[in-house]
Amino acid sequence: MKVELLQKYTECEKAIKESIFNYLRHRFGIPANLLQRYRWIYQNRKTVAVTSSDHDPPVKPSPLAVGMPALKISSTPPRLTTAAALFLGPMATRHRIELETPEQLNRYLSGATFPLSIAECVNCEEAGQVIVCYHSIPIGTGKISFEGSVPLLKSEFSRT
Amino acid sequence: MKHFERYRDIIQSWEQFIEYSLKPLPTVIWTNTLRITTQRLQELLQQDGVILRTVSWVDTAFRVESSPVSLGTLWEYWAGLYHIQEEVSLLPPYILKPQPGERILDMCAAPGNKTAQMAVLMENTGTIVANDNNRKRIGAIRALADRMGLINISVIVSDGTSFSFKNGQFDRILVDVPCSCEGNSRKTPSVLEECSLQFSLRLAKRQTLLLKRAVELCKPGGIIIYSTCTYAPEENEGVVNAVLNLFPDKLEMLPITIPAFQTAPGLTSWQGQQYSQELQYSIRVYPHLNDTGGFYVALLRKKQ
Repeated sequence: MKVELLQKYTECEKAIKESIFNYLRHRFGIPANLLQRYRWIYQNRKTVAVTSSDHDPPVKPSPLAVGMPALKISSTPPRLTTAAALFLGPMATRHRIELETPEQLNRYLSGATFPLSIAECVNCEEAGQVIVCYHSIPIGTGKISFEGSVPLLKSEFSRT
Repeated sequence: MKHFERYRDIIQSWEQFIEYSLKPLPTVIWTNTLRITTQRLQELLQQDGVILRTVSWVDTAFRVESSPVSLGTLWEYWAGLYHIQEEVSLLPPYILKPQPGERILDMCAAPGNKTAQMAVLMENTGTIVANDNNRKRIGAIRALADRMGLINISVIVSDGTSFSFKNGQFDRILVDVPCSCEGNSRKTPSVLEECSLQFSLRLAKRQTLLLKRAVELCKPGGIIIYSTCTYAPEENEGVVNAVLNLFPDKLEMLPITIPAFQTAPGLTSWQGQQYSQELQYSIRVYPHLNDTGGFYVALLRKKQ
């Protein structure tokens, strides 16, 4: 996603929003009507943030942050931030991994790469970013790959 | 504890006050109800071996009876299901009662614990302007908001005493000022080393300017909370009294009632100084009353 003209904390143009919504629907199965409940604004050239629809940021001095950083639009494809994975994860139906054991959880929290069973990857069709859950609760993001004989999940767990 | 001697005449059950001031502080967590119910959180933490007891006056918070690990290391913490915060500092947002869709100013917001609590009470709608004059402490507000999934917060760095009028007026304002922190002595005993009357008097000047600006920034009919975590009347009733005198027809104090939580009334006089009778509506919290830290809260309304 290339942003030609950028003004910090201005609302994303319709075309950019549509492209974000399309990506989130395609990748994570999040319906656009749920995403339209929020305001999507440029936090900077690289990141789009999400705020409440009625959020009215201060003007002076310029805010250091407005809402929550949601999507890195400078990368292709865009990448969910950890905060956005926790926030949007409950709405996701695709590329969402459920860790089934405490051992898997510990490996994820320690930043490891570890194998998953085919059953655990039932809603993952493509390699790339996934939302990782435990007890059906989003805990962060990871990167899934299908290059070897078993799917591998690379933890992207972040404490920040 | 010698520092507290000057409060002997205003604190009932003095021996108990001293006894509790020396005890370690209980750990308290509150539920991020945007993400999980209190019941489900309790179930999950029980599976981790954490024993919780509901806080008597706020049903979304728990006292931690025992835990095999630090509460800040569990996956539920990193998933933003709860936050660790001292029980008594849950008071200001609880009393301010921010409503969904409102415009709120948190004048001295860092590290953002009360900001986050208010954002949840507002159901992630409306606007909270989280201001602090210390840029180094702003990162903590942002990290907390991101972990808890809070999207109704804007963070700015400015001196609250000259907070810009260009940002409009606010429905409710939290003025949780920098103070001498005597009430934190259970958590951080070393805070008392810096405390002195001179220190409190110096702080009171800035606290008065902060509260004065809050009155100017509040909508007519709006609500202001002034709070500290200190016992010093110079920083508490003295500040509120000074600001009441600056706006004699514009401000009124409101009584504060918290079911199942013990408080002492605010002082109407101190060391020969007379304060407005309205100051009795403010509340003082001492460690022995509820097994918490110490705190002071005043609730004010700007008249229409």
